[in-house]
Amino acid sequence: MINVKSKSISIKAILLTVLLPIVVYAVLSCFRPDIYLQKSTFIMLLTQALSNVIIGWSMVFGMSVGLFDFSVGARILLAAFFGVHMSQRFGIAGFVIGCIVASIIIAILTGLIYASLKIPSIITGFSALLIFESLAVMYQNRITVIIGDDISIFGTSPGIYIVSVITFIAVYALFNNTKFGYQIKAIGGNEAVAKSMGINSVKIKLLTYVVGGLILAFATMVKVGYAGTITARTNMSSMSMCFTPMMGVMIGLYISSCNPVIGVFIGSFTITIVSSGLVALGIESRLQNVVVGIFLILFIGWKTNFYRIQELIRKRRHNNIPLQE
Amino acid sequence: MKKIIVLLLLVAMTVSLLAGCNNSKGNDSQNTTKKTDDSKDTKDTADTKDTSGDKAAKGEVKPLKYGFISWGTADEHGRTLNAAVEWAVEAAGGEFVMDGSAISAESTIAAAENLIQAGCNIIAFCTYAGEASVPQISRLCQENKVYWTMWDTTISDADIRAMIEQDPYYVGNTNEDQYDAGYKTMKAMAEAGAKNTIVVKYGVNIPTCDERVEGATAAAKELGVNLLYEIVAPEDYKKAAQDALVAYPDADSFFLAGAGSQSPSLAAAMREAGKNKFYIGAFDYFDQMGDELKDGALTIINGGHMVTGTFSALMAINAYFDTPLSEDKYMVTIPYLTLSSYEDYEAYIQYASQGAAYTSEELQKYLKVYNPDLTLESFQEGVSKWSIADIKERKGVN
Repeated sequence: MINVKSKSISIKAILLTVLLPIVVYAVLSCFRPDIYLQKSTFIMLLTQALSNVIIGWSMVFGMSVGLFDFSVGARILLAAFFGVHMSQRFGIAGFVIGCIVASIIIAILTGLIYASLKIPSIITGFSALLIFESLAVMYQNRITVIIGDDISIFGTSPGIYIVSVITFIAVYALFNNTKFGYQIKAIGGNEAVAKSMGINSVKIKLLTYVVGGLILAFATMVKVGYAGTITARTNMSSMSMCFTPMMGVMIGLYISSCNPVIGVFIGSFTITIVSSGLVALGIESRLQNVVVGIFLILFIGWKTNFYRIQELIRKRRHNNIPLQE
Repeated sequence: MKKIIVLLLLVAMTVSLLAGCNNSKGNDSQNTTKKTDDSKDTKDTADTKDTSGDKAAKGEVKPLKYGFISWGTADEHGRTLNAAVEWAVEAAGGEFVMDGSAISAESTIAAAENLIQAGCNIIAFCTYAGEASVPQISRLCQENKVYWTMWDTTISDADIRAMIEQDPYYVGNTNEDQYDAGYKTMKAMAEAGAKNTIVVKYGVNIPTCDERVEGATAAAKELGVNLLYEIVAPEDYKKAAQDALVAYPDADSFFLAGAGSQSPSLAAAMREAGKNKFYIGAFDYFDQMGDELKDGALTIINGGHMVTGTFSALMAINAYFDTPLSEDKYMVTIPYLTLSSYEDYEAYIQYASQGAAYTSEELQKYLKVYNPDLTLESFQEGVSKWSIADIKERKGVN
């Protein structure tokens, strides 16, 4: 009996989790069945979402303990330039090792600034963004940015799927089956209580930067391979690179019916479908961000106020019953 | 230990302070002398200018120190731009001084002050960091009687435009005809076979970008090319291109109004959509463009406008040598260097990027002291020839 009940609960959780992208996709399919009922469109959207999903996974550790790091975009750029530079000397191995080494070093530096100086993560992120963005511009000016065809395997099928699956397994295991993951959840739940239990929150937060840096290296590889190019950005414009993944993480953390790691995927995939759908519906591209923003507000607003809304509906029903009688 | 560090810091600070005093003193005296001489020179020049007429024809080659302001020489455009200005200054027998620190309106003004202090007779800058620097630089140049010009710039603020019209030391500016470049790019794409185009703009309300698109739109209308959709400032160019290709599966081309380095992303989107034959017209050179032209992913690309600095220098030098091309302020339109094949790319690299596109003799034809027949019209006519074909012809390459 208990087994049947828990089975039905988990099926319900799965359905609730995948409901969001399915509903959005179904709505778009009604408007443009010629596009959205094609297998190639679905695969394209899935591929598009993956680089943001991996960036989101790199942020999920930090965001779970309340760290907001806007330097992610600048860190991707700097690691990418180093990786591309290394690829010109040592081929694809140089690219992989270059991205990983650079990304981890940059993450450690950012984490150390946060942990040693006790500066709020947002301010640390902005400072790191300014520094790494400028360094990326200078780096780009000193190298010839030519992305070889071999690098594109990370951004095309099957390479992008292999990297994504490996990253998912690693992130899922780290988040759900390790002491580190439990400590993150404890700090995210209540930092004061976690501290009183003997968890060194500063050390764990520093570790989230390092682990996030490693995951970000995979995201960098996928992003460069997917775009086939990389360009430095100035005036904090690299910050926009982390907005979509961040929204994905927020949606992921708010989908209470599933694990946050899966939620990040669901969130990022949903945003990708929404933004793609706006083009398909012929909505002016300037309005797309407005619609994505409104979608996010509505979704998080609904999730945050879910019980209040339920209560309101219940009260209204309750009030209506005597009237009908 | 702390005491030792404090002592070392104190010594270092004292030394640097004293060194600074020594330098500034030296510079001051040097600059003052130079400036006095220059002031005299430029005052004379200004006086001459007032009564130009026949005196204009009696111009002479004078000692020249040309100050050029830019963001530096680290990138391809900055490097070739500074080199191209040096060609002009060398042709005039002058000394080229560069200040590569201008990354904002404030630092552009500071660079102008530094160059004037260094004794430059002419300074040149661009308003890529904003037009706010123009009134201040105009005032500085008038105070110090230094000629000035702007490269790759068109002033959009009516008040600033009116103000510099009254400045006797302002010569004029150079810029590209964005509308014409957009028109020609779309025309080349249509001639290559483009029929359904997606326009990609790199920003919102940027006159340069908008004018290019206006030109492209006019050409598309004229040649029967359908403009299907407009992507504006996407965060992810490839994703935006893929979304547009899904919505408009008939699209066979992209008009990229700037940010040429994103061309590989657009090409990849086309290939992944199963399109083997497509057309991309772009602006702004990038490192991978040779490969993209070679494999046919790029139909046409515009850039190579480093000579905008060369010709604005020649305009100002003519004025400084008492042979102004016009008594009024004037603008010279510089064409883009358009590449439409790998051979064009090779010629650009060999003769314009790594070599000097013009010899001193060729550039002296744009100076009235060497070429008395030179007029503003013939100057503009010569400038308009700037192209790969023109470079090859002058270099004797078929």
